Amino acid sequence: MTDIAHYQPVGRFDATTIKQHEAELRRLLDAGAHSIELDFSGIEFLSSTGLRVLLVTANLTEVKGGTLRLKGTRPEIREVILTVGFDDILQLND
Amino acid sequence: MKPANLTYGVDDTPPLSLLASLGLQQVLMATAGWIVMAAMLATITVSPGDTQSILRMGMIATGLGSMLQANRRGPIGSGFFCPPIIAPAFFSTTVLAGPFGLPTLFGMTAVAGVFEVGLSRLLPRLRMLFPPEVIGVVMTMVGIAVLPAGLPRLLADPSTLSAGADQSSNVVVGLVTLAVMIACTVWGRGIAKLFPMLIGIVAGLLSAVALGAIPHETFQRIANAPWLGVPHRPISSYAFEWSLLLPFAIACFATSLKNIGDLTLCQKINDANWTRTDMASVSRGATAQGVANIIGGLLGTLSHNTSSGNVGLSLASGATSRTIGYSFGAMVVLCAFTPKVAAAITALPAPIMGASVIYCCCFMMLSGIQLLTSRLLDSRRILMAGCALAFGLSAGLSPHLYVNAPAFLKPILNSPVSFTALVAVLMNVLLQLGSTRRLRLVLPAGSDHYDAIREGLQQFGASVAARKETIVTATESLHHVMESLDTGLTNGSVTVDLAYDEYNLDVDVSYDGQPIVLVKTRPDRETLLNDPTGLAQLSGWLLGQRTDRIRVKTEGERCHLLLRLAT
Repeated sequence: MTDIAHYQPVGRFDATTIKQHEAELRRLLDAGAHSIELDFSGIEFLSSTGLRVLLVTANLTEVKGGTLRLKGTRPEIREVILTVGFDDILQLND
Repeated sequence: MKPANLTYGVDDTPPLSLLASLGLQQVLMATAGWIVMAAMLATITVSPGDTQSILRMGMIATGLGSMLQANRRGPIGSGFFCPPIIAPAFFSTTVLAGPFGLPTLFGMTAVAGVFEVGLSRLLPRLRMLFPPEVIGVVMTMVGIAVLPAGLPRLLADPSTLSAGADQSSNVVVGLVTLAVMIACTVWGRGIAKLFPMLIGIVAGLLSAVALGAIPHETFQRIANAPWLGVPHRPISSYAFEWSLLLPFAIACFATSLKNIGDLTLCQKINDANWTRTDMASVSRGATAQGVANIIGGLLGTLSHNTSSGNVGLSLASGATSRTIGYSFGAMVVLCAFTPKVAAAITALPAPIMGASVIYCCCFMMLSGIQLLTSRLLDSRRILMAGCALAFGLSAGLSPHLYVNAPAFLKPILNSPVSFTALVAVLMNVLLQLGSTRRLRLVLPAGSDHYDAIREGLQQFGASVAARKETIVTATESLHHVMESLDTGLTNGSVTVDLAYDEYNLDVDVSYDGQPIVLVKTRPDRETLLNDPTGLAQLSGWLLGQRTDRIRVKTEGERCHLLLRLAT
């Protein structure tokens, strides 16, 4: 397992889909990843439930000395992340 | 908020050293209007001396009109750089009034100005007739309609050249001018970015001299013109003719439609957050235009309206400051008193003028298309836009279709912009019959509503021509609401009522259960991670951030979440 794990969720990052995404993120962390890079280019909606999972994941990577990175976020998703101020706890890459 | 592409926005004041050059650049663009005026006067019997006087009085009217328009205090003036030039919509009225003599022509011009002022005061009440999609169509046509004045000159059509001029060398001059303007805009920095047209004109003039495309007589005519000369009025009295009142009134209506398009363009290019036309500002601008025409008529010149070309140039050069309206105005008035400068300006080779017009057209057309496509359009509005453009284009492409139309309608039928505006307004009103600006969605309990909300709002947005951003935000907000409700706030169905008007999209989410918690401060990291209500707090706070107004209302067991988004 490499230090940085990659995951590309597709569709929605909300209450209806979050269990699947949360399980995958847990699996990557349990497998030894310190940092996770999420390719968000396929995400069309991010809800408050999804935001909370991002926060939890960012916390877990931080404990391991790593970071949570998001890349390819759509403008409307990026705006939500900036609105809630989560750009402090995760890295937003283009 | 000032758009990033503007170096000097409407409220900025460029340094004095740049003001003169920016004003001169705009004066060169306005030259096209004086050439059109000379052409209009050639169709009626006016002596060369009177033609010169009318042209120079036209310069004074243009200068004063530009200053009035730039004014932002009181009831006259929009506060934008939007100078007037000769109004082609008055071409047929000029022909009709010609046989009655110049006192009647100028008397009726002043009367038309009074009519225009009266019409301008009604504009705020007519706001419903001019939604953004209608304005977008008109603005697109404002750009397209100028093309016939530019393309033949750019490509050195023989009808635009003096006798014996070499067509191929003139084509080169036009293309060099346009290429330099484009290069300055795309790759230019600093001065080059501010003065793309001026630099292009200089390059065009150098190439014209090198290729021998400027006739010797042109230099002679400029040399012979005196440096100073007080312009005089071509008439000493005025006359009124009842039979001309209706044609002049219709021409006024046509130019008012064009003024609305140009002044809206001014608003849009000066505000990055522009969403809808400020009709109060348009009304003050139209009043300024009417007053300028009263002055013009009394001075002894033809009717003017707002200049799309000059507004387009201000956008292209990134300098839309109202101060330029004053410097431009002063320079144009000065031109009226310096025949040599006026002669030099009006002697610009046709291909250079054509290149300048085409250059500005690019920005004007695209501004309208951007506004039109920023809205969700259903079949009603697609038909409105398509038909308005088709009929408007017919006025330019096939003017013979309207030769037998009643004379009083010709100011509209002969003007692509006015014709487009009229068809767009009428079709927009007619096609709204039977349409609704309300929608109710009933979302049953226990199912995934994501697609139902998204599709419902998309269709509703298209039916009311809402901004895409408004519908996206409303859709996301409803997803957030539904997710919050699914945390146990309700077990029953949820009703969503949407109401759209020209100002707001109101959303009423009602259900039996407990109200959503709205908090004013964002829950901190600790609350989100450890407090069971953290998620609900985040959702409520996020909704408050995404909407313009939010409130909760309860009626017994029934809870209402009321959201408002500006349209």
